[in-house]
Amino acid sequence: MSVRRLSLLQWVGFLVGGPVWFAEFLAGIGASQAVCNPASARWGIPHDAVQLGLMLFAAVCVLIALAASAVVFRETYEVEEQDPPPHGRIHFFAAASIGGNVVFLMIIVLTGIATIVDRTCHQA
Amino acid sequence: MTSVAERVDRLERQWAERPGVLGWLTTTDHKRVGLLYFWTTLVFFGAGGVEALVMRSQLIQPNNHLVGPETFDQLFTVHGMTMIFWFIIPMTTGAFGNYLVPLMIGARDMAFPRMNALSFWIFLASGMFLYIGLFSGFGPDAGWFNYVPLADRLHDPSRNIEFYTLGLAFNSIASTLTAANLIVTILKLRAPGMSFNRMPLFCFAFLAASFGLIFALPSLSVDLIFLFLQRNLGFHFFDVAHGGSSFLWQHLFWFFGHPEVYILIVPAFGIATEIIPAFTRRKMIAFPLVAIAELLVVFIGFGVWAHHMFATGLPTTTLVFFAGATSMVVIPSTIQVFAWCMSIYAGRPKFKTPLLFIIGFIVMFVAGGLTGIMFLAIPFDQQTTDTYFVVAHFHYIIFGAAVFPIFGGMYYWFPKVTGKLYFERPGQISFWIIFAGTNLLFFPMHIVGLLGMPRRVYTYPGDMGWTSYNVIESIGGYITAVGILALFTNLVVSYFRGAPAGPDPWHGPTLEWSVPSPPPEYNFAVIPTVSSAYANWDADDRERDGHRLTAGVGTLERGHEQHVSSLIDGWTSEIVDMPHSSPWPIALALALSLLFAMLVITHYLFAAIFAVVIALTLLGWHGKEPQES
Amino acid sequence: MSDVVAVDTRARERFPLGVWGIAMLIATEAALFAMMVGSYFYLRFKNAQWPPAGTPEPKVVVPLVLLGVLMLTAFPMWKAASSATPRRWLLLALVVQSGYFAMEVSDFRDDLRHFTPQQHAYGSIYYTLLGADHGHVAVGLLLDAWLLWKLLFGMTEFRRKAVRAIALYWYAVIVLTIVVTLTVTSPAFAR
Repeated sequence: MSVRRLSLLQWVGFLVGGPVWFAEFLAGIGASQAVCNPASARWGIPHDAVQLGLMLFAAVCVLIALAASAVVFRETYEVEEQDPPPHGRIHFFAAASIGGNVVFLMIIVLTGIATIVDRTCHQA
Repeated sequence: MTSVAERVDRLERQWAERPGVLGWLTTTDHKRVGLLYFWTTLVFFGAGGVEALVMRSQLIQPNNHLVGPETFDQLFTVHGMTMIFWFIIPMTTGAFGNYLVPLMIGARDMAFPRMNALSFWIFLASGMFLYIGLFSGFGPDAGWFNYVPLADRLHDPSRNIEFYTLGLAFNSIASTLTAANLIVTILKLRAPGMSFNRMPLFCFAFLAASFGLIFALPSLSVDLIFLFLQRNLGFHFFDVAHGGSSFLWQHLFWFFGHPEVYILIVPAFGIATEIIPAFTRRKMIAFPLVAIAELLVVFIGFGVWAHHMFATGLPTTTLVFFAGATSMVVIPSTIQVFAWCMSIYAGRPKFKTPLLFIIGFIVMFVAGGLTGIMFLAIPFDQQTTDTYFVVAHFHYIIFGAAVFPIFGGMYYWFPKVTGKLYFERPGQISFWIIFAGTNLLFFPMHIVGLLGMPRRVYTYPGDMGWTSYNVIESIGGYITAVGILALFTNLVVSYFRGAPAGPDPWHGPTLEWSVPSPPPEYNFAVIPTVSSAYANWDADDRERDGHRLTAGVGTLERGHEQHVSSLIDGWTSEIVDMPHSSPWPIALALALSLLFAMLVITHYLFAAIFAVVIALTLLGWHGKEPQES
Repeated sequence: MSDVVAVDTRARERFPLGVWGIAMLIATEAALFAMMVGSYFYLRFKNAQWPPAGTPEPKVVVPLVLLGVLMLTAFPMWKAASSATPRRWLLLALVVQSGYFAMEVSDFRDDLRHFTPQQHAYGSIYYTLLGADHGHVAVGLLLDAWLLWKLLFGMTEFRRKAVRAIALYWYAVIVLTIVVTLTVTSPAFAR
């Protein structure tokens, strides 16, 4: 694989997961607040459907990022972590991104399931 | 042909600081700014410590009358504010960050030297602002998180809360400037060859903390602006009767407040990741995972804020997002703990004082982290919120995970900054006293919290079964104070009587150990080239630097010059002329101080006049342009 | 004396440090506005009637037209940043931006005749959000004026970098104004 393509995949792996999780997180909280507040409750937002959609979308994006990181890691397996750029940097970010994307995926799935399974708008 | 001595002499003349007090008032040298931050934060640490000791003395026995409730309210509020905003943040980012980051990345200064000096003078002025409020009887008194409606005009009508809102807003300008400076410095001024995979973990930690500050502080600023407008101009953000919401204060505050606590500890993680390789004589295990963990902790930390609001009655469909994210934010912290422990285990540890403090930090951080995990369970949180259990948790984290590495870092870099070695035996003794004292002080708080003792109470009845725990805690506090005094006495005596340290007493891994102790004003006679994150251990590179110095390649002697590199892979992109001594930072800080003073006494016209003065000062600041390259 | 530090041909991006500084300012100000916009919607979720009874609906046409005018000034700012003679483009931008600002101030004062920030949370957040946005526009006007004055004395490398940095500031202010305008006019689109 060319360095250009490796680099692109590396950046996809590193930069997609975090913002996607955070955007889904804010949208999910926003949706649950919109459903559970008296003024906005009349908008009739379907809570569980929205949360399921957000969770699936975010999970797919993070899986793509994880796959990109994994491909790059495998392609640069022989590279040492302190090797000169660009290969050393590419391998480093790929290794780091695998860890990061796994964590983001777990948060997305955990919080998505929890908010759907829970009684909507039940006060804590 | 120019000799090495002539090159060095030229650099010394180019970079020489103005002599005397005027030199310190107009300095833009990152090392001097770092030292100014260091000494000033220690004064605030002392103040915060005295506040703590007075509180512990008040609580040593039930129904005590050492201080009354109003004074106690101001004590715990100002103690919290001081320790967070005027000790830990400026000590880590302002002192350690400013002094060490340019040295570690092979730079001659920060990216914006005058802005660096400005951030210090603003920080100092904001601290004076807060303490003028305290000493004039108007100390903030609604807790460091200052919830409305308690902090609103109805319940807290006098100027105490204005010292809170304006003091913190003032301080946050300094932190924002420092964070911006650290980010641009780390991204753009790295030595040739220092791509991200070859950057010290310390720099990853400071990058993470700085991004945290940039994105978290605005939330606090918005909260403070809203409260100021509500209290002084009759706005209605937080009062329910006019369509506002008191929860809005909490959401905005904790959106800042939780990343803030990671901002407090992540630089300390960075300190640990430098001390461990130096004293175990091996590279950090799982380098990429530790680097990403440092970034992840802060990033995910933006998603957990409402775990501080589990007891407010919000719907669980909202709260589970935060419980889930809180459970996952543990993972990057755990990765780091495992990496540190395995690196110590797999290396050849030398248990000198800095490493002892790091081991103490790991122990305290794990203990505090375990109680943190307990809090993510909403029912448990609802039982223990606002009790001493919380106080125990966050002191184990903040004292253990932030302050212990700071103390370790003071010992570790003492030889570099002063050129002297500290006395090892007294150093180890000071560690053990502090470790014993802090555990005596904070551990019983878990128990007394579970027994129901609320936090922020100025006294308590004698028949609750809390007395003996409070006695132990107060004794622990006094022991901790003795240990801290021992630490600083050791450092002061070592400064005057310590043996010469030489450039590299520890055989340290990073570039600051490749220059003399203390470093010259220009840091590096030749801009180093780097081929790993442990550049000082790469003997070939350092030898090559010596040849380059002889040949005059990369010495940048034509002026006050600094090398700039590309963002990702650290390739040389340009040479820039850097500012030197300047009076504008202190002038601008003075004008800002007057603006905030006018705001606190609600003289808005004069505040507007000083805003104009600030604009004129900025004009003067940008009056002289840098030399063309 | 030899002092050769070769610029690496692999180093492609060349944003000056001043542009990076402005980027940091934009990041922190964007977060500030994100919090204020978030507060707007948070308060909106809490109130059954938004705006409250007796408060006029926000105007839509005039703000959107003015927004369009401000967006167009991105073009002269971009030309100024990429041109060897930026003065006339800067002057054009400053004139249009000043006109925009004057109209917005007039609208702001007109709104105050109908409802005040002291009446209710809607007024408080409306005026704070708009006021903050207008404040950033005002700072941009001052920066333009400073630049024009500096350029009267000729072009230097520093001034070239300053034009780029201030152009970046204006792009950010334009994006900010889009978000703020859509937020404050949102009651007209989604009741």
